[in-house]
Amino acid sequence: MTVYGVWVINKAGGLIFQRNYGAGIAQLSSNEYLVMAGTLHGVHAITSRIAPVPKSSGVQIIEAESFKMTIHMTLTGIKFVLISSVDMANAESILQKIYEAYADAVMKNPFYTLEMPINASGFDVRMNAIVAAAGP
Amino acid sequence: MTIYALYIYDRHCECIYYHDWHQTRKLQPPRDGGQRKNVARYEDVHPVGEVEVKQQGEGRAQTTVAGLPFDEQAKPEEQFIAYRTSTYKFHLYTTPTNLSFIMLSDPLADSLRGVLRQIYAGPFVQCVVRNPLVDWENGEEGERSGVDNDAKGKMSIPSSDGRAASRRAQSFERACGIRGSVAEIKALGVKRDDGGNRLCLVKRDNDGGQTAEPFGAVRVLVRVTPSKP
Repeated sequence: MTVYGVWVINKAGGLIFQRNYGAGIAQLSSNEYLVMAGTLHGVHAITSRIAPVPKSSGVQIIEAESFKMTIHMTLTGIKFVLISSVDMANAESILQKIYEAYADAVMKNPFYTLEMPINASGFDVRMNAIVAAAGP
Repeated sequence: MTIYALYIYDRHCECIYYHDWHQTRKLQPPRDGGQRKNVARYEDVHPVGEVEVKQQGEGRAQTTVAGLPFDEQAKPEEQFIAYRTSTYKFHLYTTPTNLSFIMLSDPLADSLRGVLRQIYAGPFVQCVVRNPLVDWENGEEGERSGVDNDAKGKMSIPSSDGRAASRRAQSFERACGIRGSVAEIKALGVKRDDGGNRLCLVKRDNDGGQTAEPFGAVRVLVRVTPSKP
């Protein structure tokens, strides 16, 4: 039940927030994170297009041997991505809390420009609290 | 649990087998040259008891984009094994030889990797890898074919010419557990006997005559269309 990292991707596929949580996680360069976020944005679109049944959403959970990625897309097209251990059970509710924190600490911040990287210390504080409550 | 489709990709990331079930959505046909010949399509292989699909099966096939860059060096433990959307779940099993078995199911299904592994270890190894009449590994890009040798009129077997026939016959003999000396299997072919689908091994004796030896005890799971002279 460990949260490894959180990304926020804007509706154009740009990475506007990225934090790693937990010790000993390999860091990528900021440019690599941007590429990964753009790739995920494309994968999200592809997975809804190749669906065998109509009206599929994009990818919501990606499972790998060693981690799990949970993706929540809001109605406005912003994607919240939670990278966690495989046994993470309540990833959706954590993403919902992150969305609330985003609405409170970022959207209500008069100095924030839409679609731009998030540099709000209030959001960081709320994020740390959510991740700490999620487990070790 | 609903299964929507099964895809098999080879190590070049080309689709060598495709089959679908329960699909309500018409997929786009592949662009020219985007799909190997002999990849099973709906028109060739009829799913069991799927009337609704039958009505709209025309042109059903998956799209393969040739030449997509793909990292063949990707470590197995770093690969993803499944993803899920609101309407379907995608399961991936990659063999150590870089074959990819993919199955689409409904989103509530449990992991189907075990099933995919069974398909690989059972039917695929039995009927494709050990079947010398299915030539899905050799050849240049664009010439390789899929594994569906039921596809009518698409498969041809050289009857008695050249090294290719000899190679095929050798591997056929190996697969069937038949032993023959190198002199015997020079310029061999495989042909269909008059009765129908039973296969014979054509042998050329050292004095030039030909004999056709049926595989009486061997269960052969393919149907063969001989190449036109």
